[in-house]
Amino acid sequence: MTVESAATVDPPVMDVDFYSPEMAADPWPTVKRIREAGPIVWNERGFWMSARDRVCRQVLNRPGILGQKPIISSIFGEESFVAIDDKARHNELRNVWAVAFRRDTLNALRPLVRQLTSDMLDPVIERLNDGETVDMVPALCRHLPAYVIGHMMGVSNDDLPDVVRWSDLMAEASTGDFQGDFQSNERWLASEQAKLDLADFLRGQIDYRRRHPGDDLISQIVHSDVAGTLSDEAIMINTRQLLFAGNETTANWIGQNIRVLGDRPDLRRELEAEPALIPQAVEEILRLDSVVQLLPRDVHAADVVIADTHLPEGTRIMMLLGGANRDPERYERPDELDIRREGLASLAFGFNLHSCLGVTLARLEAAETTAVLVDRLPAYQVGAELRYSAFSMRGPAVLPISLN
Amino acid sequence: MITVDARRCLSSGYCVEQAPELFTRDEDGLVVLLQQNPPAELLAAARAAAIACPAAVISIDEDQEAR
Repeated sequence: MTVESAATVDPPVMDVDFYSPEMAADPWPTVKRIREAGPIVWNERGFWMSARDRVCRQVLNRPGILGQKPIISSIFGEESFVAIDDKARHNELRNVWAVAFRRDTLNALRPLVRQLTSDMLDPVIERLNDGETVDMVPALCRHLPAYVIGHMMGVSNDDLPDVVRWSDLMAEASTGDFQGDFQSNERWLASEQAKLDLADFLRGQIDYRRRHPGDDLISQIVHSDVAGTLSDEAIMINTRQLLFAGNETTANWIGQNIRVLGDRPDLRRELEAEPALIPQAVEEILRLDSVVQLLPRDVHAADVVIADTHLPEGTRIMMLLGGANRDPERYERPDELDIRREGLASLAFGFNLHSCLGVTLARLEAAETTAVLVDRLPAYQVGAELRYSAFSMRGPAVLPISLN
Repeated sequence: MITVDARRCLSSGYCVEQAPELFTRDEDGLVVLLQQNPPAELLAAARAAAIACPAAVISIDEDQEAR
């Protein structure tokens, strides 16, 4: 698209700090103000933002022009496919695991997810019955996705606690505000160390799979057709990305589901009576409280115009996906939880080239954990000590529950 | 007979990769079905696309495919 003469408008300007505690706790009033200010709004902190569904889709539809390199590669690594905007190369790498993440393949994991959830709930139920308050984040949310992806990667149960810990520390760097003097920030340093530790661990795993191939995800990339075009480092980076991308995101989603089930006993009873509604219920919870709230794109071409706004080359646009998922132009009563809502795809898993590889796994985990929770947990309430992680990747960081 | 539900499409592109003769994307990136009743030689590709779709928006009704 080229700049039509005088076709562009001056964008509205706001000053929004995405990393303030208020944005983590309750971002919706601010997000609404951004959406209502205009389709694309300039943030005085130096980037564009949009909380509208239609604009976000337009941005995501042009991966070559509005790409996610280099910002994503700073988190995942230069050669990870999530950072590659060239479609052919991206797909070549993504397809290494396409079969593993297909619905028919993943269905075989349902019993494992149910069993893991049930095992993790045993001590929770015991503590609740003893009158204790239990934080569900360490008790279930954080560990469940890590165990599942770890299992898929062929990581032994003994090594999983380390893997979960590294993944947590890495998440800190993707959610904290490190724009200033980040290199001396403690959390940044811890995250960098975790990245190195996880990298060392994965190099060992990759080396082992080379000699002892299995049917796990690491063996699949090591013995794939494209492996010949990948350095050992690139194999490690793509494997690390796989582990990280699935853990924190799904943990946050499971946390939101647990929170809603506690806050809404009516909904819980509805799901108890009709478990077939669980997949669409957790999907609606994710629309309303999306985990990936901020998705950045950089403008890689001159004369990019979206929604009559000229986005100069080299500028950045932050898409407020959770805000787009509450856009009244797409959803009636957008701030309302309605599990019987018409099945529209939200932007919670992204859209187009970089839409989530693990979407089916995440949905399976969210639905199966909820099914087991509804089946096994006594009626519970969420405590006032509930705390959210950062706005950019949002979910309960502290999720205390107790019996009514 | 193939049907698609574009309202739930994530534009992942798997279908176009599997069966470019049967699927494309519109300017919004959403799936567009090119042939509702594909010839026999494209049935395998149609099934592959349906299985590959992460959003499960492609359905194939095999009963109606007798031609």
